[in-house]
Amino acid sequence: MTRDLTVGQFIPGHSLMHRLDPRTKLMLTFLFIIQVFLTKSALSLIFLLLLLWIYIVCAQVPARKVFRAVRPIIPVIIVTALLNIFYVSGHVLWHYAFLRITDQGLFTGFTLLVRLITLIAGCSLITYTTSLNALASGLEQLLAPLKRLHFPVSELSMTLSITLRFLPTLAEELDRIIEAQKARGAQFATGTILNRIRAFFPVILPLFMSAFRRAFELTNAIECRCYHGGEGRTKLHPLKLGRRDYAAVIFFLAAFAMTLIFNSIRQPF
Amino acid sequence: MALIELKNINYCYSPGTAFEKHALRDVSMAVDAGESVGLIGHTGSGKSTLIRHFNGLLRPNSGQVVYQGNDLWKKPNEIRSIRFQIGLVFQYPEAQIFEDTVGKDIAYGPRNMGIGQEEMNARIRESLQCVGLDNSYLERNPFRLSGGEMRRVAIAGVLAMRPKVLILDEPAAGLDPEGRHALFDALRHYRRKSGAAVVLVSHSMEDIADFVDRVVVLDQGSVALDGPVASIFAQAEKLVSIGLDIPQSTKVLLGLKAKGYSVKTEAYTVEQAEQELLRFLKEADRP
Amino acid sequence: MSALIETQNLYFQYLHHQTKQKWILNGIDLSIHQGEFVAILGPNGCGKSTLAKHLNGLLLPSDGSVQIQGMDTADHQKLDAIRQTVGMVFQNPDNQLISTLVEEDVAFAPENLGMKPSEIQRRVDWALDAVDMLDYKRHSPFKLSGGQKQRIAIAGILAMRPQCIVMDEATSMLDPKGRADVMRIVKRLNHELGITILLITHHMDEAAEASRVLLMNQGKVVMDDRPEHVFYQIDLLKQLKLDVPQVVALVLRLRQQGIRLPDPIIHVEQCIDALTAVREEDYGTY
Repeated sequence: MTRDLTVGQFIPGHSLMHRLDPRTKLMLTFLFIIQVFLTKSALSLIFLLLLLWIYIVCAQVPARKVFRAVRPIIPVIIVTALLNIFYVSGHVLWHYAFLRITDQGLFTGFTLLVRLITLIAGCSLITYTTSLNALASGLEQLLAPLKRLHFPVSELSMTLSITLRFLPTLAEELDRIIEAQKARGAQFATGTILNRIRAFFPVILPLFMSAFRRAFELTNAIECRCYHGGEGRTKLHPLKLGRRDYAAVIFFLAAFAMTLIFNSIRQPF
Repeated sequence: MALIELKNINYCYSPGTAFEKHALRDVSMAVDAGESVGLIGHTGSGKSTLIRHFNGLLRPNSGQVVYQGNDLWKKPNEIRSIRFQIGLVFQYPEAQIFEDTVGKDIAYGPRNMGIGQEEMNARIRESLQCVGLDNSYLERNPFRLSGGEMRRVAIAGVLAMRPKVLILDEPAAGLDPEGRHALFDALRHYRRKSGAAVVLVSHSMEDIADFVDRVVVLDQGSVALDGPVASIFAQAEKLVSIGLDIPQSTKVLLGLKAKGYSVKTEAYTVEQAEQELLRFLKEADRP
Repeated sequence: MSALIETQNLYFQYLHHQTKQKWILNGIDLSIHQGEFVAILGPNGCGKSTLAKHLNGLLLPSDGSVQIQGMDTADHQKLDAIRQTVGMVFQNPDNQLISTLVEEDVAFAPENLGMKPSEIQRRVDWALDAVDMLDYKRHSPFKLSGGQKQRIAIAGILAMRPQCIVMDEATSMLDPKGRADVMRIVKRLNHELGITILLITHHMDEAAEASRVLLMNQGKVVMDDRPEHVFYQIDLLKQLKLDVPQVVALVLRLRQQGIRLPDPIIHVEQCIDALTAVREEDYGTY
C-alpha cells in the first residue's frame, strides 16, 4: 500500500526543470493543460508529442517513471477513447448491428487517447521535479494577493505541506494496523458489503486516534520552534525568478502559439 | 518434532525494482512446544520480517513454514485459522486498540474465532487477569489508561485467543521500569498457565536474558548464532561486534578479559557475574 | 549569578481537574545553571514531562512561577525569547519533523523568527554539522533511522542557538545504536558548546552521564544530587520502582562479600578499573 504513494513523488535532481522556480512551473503546467485541450489537428498532435519528449529530457526523469504515473488511469482513457470511436459521425469504415466506426471517430478517439496520456505525463513532471515544500511555497506566493482579503494563504500552504509530509507516515501506520488486526483474525476481502465496511472500523479508528495524537505532539513541537502563523516568516530559499524562468515562459508561449498555428493549417482531418 | 519450524526462508522486498532488498537469507529456526526463545538482532537485521512469516502475514519467496507438521502455504485459505494459534503482538500494540471499553477490545480476536458469549466472557476475564489487571478494567475506556496499561490490554487481546505460540516484537519498548516489570510478569504468568511457546523479539539482551531459554541472533538477514543463553553470552565479543547491546555485568567481565585476565564472559545476571568475579579475585590469592 | 532556569513554588494541575484532584506538580523549587547536565528520573506520572513543558511556556503554572534567564514564562511578550533559550526534543521523532527535506526542516525555527536567508543557511549548516548530519542535508527525513531523525530534531532546535535543550524521553523509542548516537551528540553539545542539558529518561545508564540527577515522585523532587550518590540509594530507587543499575548492584554484592571497592562506581569502566586494582593489590601483597 505504501508503495503506491511513491508514484509521482519528488525525485531530487539538478535538471533544467528542477531548477525552475516552482511558480513558473505551476503557471507553465496550467498553460500546458490548456495547450493540450486546444490541440485539434494531426500536425499539432505530433508537435505536442515532440514537446512532451523535450520536457521529459529537460526534466531528466526516466520515461519509465513518467508512464508509470499514467498507468493507473489507462482504463479510463481507453473507455473514453472507445466511446468516441463508436459515437462520432463521419465516413463509415466498418459497421456491425448498431456499432459503426467512422474515420472521424477513429481520429477523435486516437487524438483523445494521446492528449490524455500527454496531459497526465506532463503534469507528473512537475511533481517529479518539484519538492512538495517548494510546490507549497510556490502556491503560497501565487495566491499571495488573496492575503489582502484576509485569506490565510500561508497557514493553508503550511497545512498542505505538513499533510503531504505525514502521508507516508500514516500510510505506514495503516499497514501496521492492518497487519495487527489480521493477526487477530480480521478479514477484509470476504462477506457482504456491509460486513466488509464493518471490517474496516478496527483499522480506521486506530488510524484516526494515531493521527490525532501525532497532531497534538506536532503542535507542541512547532510551538517550541516559535511558529505563530505566516506573519513575519522568512524562507531559507526565497523564491527568485531567474533568467531561465523568463526563457522558459517565452519558450512555452511560443510553443502555445505554434499549436494554434498548426491547428489552423488545412489538413486531411 | 518442533511445534513450528521455519525452513530455509528467503524473503525479498519489492523484487525486481530499484528498492529491492533481500531481507532474509536462508533462515531456519524451530520452536518447540512450551519453549521460550529470544530473537535478537539490531534494527534492519530482519527480525520484523521473520516474525511475519510465523503466522503467514508474509509469504516466503522460497522455503517452508511448518506448523504442527503441516506446510502453512499448502493450504493458504486455512492460514486465518492458524493465526488464532500463533499470536503475534506487534511493536507498540496499543495502536491496534479501537473499542471504547477494554472488555470489547479484548473480545475482538475471540469474536473473529466465532466463540460463544459465555466462553468469551471467561476468556476476557482470564486474559485480563493474566496481564495483572482486575475486572474493574472491563468497562473502562482503554484510551484513558496509562501507556503501560494500554500495552497490557492490547496483549490481553491476543492472549484471549489462547495462542499456542506467542510472538512479541519489542513488547517493553518505551515503557518505564515498573511497566516493564509488570509486562514480563504477565508473560511469565501466561507461559506457566498455558504452557505456550514464546518468541520474544528484542535488540536488548538485558531485557530477555532472564526470560528465555534459548537465543537466536539474526545479523543481516541470516542466523548468526543459535543456542542456550549461556552459550550465546560465552561469545560476548561476537555479540558486540554484531552491534548488540549486552548487559553491564557482561561488559565488566568482557573488559577484564580484554585486559588479559582469564575470565569467563557467559554471565549475564548480577548473581552470575558476582560468582565469576569472586572466583577471579580469589584466584589472585594463589598464583 | 542568576540561574538559567528557576522555578519557585511551582504547582500545576489541568483546569478541568481543579477540584479535589491531586497536584501534578506539587511545589517545585529548582535552579539550573548554565552548562549543567541534569538527568530527571522518576516513574511514569511523576510529573517529569509536565515539568519539562513548563520550562519553555508550553504549560503555565497554576501557582508559583518559572523564570528563564529572569524572564517569566507567563509573560506572553517574552515567549519567543524564552523558546529560543530553552528548546525541547520530544519522544517520537516522526512527530517533530515537519518537512520533506532535512535542510528545510532544520530551517523551520529560523524561518519563523524572520531571519535573513544567508543567516538561516549558516545556522542550518552549523546545526547539522553539530549533530553529524551535514551529509544528509538534501535527504528526505522519512527514509532515515530513528536515531538519525532524532538528531535532525536536535539540529532543528540547535538552529535557534539555545542555551538549554530539554530531552523529554527523546531516546525511549530508539534502538541501542540510535540511543548511543544521540547520547554522544548530547554529551558533545554539553562539553564543547556549554549547552545546558535536561535529560528526562528511564535509562539509568544515560542518567549516569549527567552531573546531577533529580529523582521525582508524585509531583515533587525527592532527591537532587550527583549520580554517584543517587544510584546508591537502593531503597529509594526500589520504592520509586526504578531499576538499580547492574554495576551498582554488582558493586554492592561484592562489598558484602568483603571485597574493598573504592567509592564512586557507576560506570562499567570504573568497575573494571576498581576490580583490576583490587586483584593487582592482592596479588602484590601475597
